[in-house]
Amino acid sequence: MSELVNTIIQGILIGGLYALFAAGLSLVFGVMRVVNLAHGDLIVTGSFLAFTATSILGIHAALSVVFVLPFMALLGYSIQRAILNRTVGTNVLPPLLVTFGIAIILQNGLLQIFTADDRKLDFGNIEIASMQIGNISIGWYSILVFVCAIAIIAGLQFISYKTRIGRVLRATADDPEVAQVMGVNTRHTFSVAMAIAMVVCGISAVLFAAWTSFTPLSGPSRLLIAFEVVVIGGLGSIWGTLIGGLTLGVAQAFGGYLNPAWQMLAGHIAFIIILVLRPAGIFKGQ
Amino acid sequence: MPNYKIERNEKYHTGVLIGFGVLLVFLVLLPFWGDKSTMRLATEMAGYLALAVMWNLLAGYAGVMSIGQQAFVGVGGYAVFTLAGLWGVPLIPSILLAGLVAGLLAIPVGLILFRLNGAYFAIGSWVMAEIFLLLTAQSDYLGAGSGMSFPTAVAKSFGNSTERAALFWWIALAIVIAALLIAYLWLRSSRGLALTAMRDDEVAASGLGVNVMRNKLQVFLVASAVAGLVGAILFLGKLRISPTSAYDVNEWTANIIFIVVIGGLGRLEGAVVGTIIFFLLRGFLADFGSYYLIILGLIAILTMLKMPQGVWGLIYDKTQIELFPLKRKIVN
Amino acid sequence: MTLLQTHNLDAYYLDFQALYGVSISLDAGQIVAIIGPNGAGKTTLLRSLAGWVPVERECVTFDDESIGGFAAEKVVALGIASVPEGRRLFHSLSVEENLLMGQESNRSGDWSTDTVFDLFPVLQGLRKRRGSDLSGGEQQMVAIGRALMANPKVLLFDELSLGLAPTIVGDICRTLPVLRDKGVSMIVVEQDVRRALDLSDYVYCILEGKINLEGESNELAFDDVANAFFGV
Ligand SMILES: Nc1ncnc2c1ncn2[C@@H]1O[C@H](COP(=O)(O)OP(=O)(O)OP(=O)(O)O)[C@@H](O)[C@H]1O
Ligand SMILES: [Mg+2]
Repeated sequence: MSELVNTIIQGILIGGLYALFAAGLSLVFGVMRVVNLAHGDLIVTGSFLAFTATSILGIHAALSVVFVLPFMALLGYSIQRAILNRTVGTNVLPPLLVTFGIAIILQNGLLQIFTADDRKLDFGNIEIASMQIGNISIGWYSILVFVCAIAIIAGLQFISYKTRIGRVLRATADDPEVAQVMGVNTRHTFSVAMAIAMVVCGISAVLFAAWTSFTPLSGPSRLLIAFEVVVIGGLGSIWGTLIGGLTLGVAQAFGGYLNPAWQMLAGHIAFIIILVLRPAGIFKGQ
Repeated sequence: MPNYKIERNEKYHTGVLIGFGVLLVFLVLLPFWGDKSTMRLATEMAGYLALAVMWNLLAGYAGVMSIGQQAFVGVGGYAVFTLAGLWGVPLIPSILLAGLVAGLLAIPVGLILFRLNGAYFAIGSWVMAEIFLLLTAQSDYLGAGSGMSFPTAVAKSFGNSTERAALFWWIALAIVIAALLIAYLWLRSSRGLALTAMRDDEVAASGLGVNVMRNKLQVFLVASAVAGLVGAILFLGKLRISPTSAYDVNEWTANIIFIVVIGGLGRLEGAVVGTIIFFLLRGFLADFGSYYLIILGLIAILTMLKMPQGVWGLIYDKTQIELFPLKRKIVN
Repeated sequence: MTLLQTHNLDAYYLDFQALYGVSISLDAGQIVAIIGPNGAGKTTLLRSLAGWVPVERECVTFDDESIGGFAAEKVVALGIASVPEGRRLFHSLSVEENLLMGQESNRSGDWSTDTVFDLFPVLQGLRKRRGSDLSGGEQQMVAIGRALMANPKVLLFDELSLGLAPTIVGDICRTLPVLRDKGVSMIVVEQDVRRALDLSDYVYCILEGKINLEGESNELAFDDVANAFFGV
């Protein structure tokens, strides 16, 4: 019994991280109407960056964000500005195909550089330390990850609703043409949105890289998680995204509890069931 | 009242037909002039072309952007290994059944996934393929994660390796011709117009009485059945199948998307030209490992941005030739 | 002094030509009205001025500088602000946030949310309301306020009265002279010929993409304008 409770708590805690994966995807979709198929591979790129920074400089894994975040912001901004802006506002196909192309390039580029070996970031003692409540033990690292995730989601919420850039992003999402007529440089705004999304990805990339191991081929599974969370939570609500993340985390944890090989499968199946029952997601229409 | 007629662009029509005839004879006779490795390459090309034709029909005409067709390739492969390899069903019925199974599976999958629009459908289809992969990897009967080899005794019953290569080539040729014919006749018929209308504006098309859901499902079913056939014949040729190779998104979907985009999305000829370019590139870049995928990705992105009509679009603009005449024009 | 001018302006939507050799001129402190039937090209003309439709560089001059084809965000930074056709508020932003969007052009001046609320006191109470939850008249006021927040020298005003109750139209018409006194010159698209003549100093009538009548508003006979409007 306590093992089951443990599993579910673990699922909730990783759910926060899944919500972070999804927050970036949904921000980009909200503003540009583009589903970024390279999202997962960009996250994995962040993980490799963290790995490289830590192993070359010998710094603590957590410090690698100092390199990862600016790099990711820059990468996101440039990809958007140089490539994706040319596809905004066309029909759905061009942005999908172009981001798919980027995904394949990133994946195979990483494969060339880093080979297909498993890597993992090492956060040190915090990874094994845990808190004991009765029969239940909760790892401090999981708690750290969850707290970071909530803080970042709250931060995104703050940016969206309390800052000028957030206002401009929401206005551009509503009506890019009129935003431009008001003086907004929409190409820049789109690129900023992508940069913010990539910073969020960078943080989740570092946190996840210590949670479980990764290879250059891990991108698609990150993308699918992010996507499932967005659909489960319903588009356009950041708290919905959090609910979506927790749902998926718990579903996976429960599946893994029944049979370790069912973890991913359980997540996908939960997604399909919710899709059949509530096509608009569980958070919409409540 | 003036008399209007709808005509197709049939420039050089007879020449094109004769060309097709000659090519067909040439291809059918391949086992008599080509060696085993040529036949295998040709079989693979035929499989890719059939997939590309179908993906083009899905995305380029019906607006159904699937990144999950590997699900049906994998199902086809596993179906034929089970039917012919484990249960002893004869070869041709096994392959046909593999296509049928894939096609039938597409119905529930489509019914669920078509609740998602455009880009969302795309990733949803990918999730579905992952589910197929994970389920297959759970099945001990199908060899679980490590997959299965085609029983040697059964393979021998199809002939020695050269005879098998010839046999598989003929089957692959039949599959690709069927795929091309289906796509061509479909697009020529009034259903083709309905598809294009849907792709351009789903709401308006359904306002004109086009049953969008049914049309999408039909195309999805046919495309998935063809994917099943292709999976069946290509994995028979390899004599080995595993979940990761059967449901490989790069192999069965990324490559195919690149083929279609580079050749020309929304043009039947595009799939043909794209397949040729793909195999040429792969041949030239064979020594560079996964670089060829990077280069292919770059070319596809550039094509999408700078030349969205693809290579065949460029050729068409210069020559106005259609190998598969589809364009309609009204004449007085 | 001439502030904004077009010279033989042609405008296209892809292959379709919507304007043919249109020349208009707006003096500082003037209100110019554009009239014409549906589909005549009025909106296209304003969009060409606002950098929303691509046109030749030399075809538009502002303060003696050629600005045709400038990106929309550059045009508004020069002081040409728009009240777009259909108002087009940002529907998920509040009234106040919509107004603040008008400041994205970073022009300095006297306009602020407070001065807009002085001009349209009803908006004060609706500050937190979302753009999509307003009446047509209220939306029009927000759209005007949003444009004013750019501290413009020129206001391009598309469809002043369309779909609004007569009393609201009256209110809005009364604000135009107030704005002019604050140094804002205006080009106003208005379908009602009588009202267009009343509120403007100069009128252009457009038909099928060409100017077919123009003149001082107080010198033009109503019947001539009406005939031009219908292309008789
Ligand atoms: N985005 C567009 N794409 C193609 N054609 C357009 C577009 N917008 C307008 N047009 C065409 O350009 C012509 C002029 O349109 P415009 O909107 O300027 O007319 P208008 O005078 O503002 O009409 P209304 O009184 O109905 O607003 C019309 O024939 C219209 O069909
Ligand atoms: Mg108009």
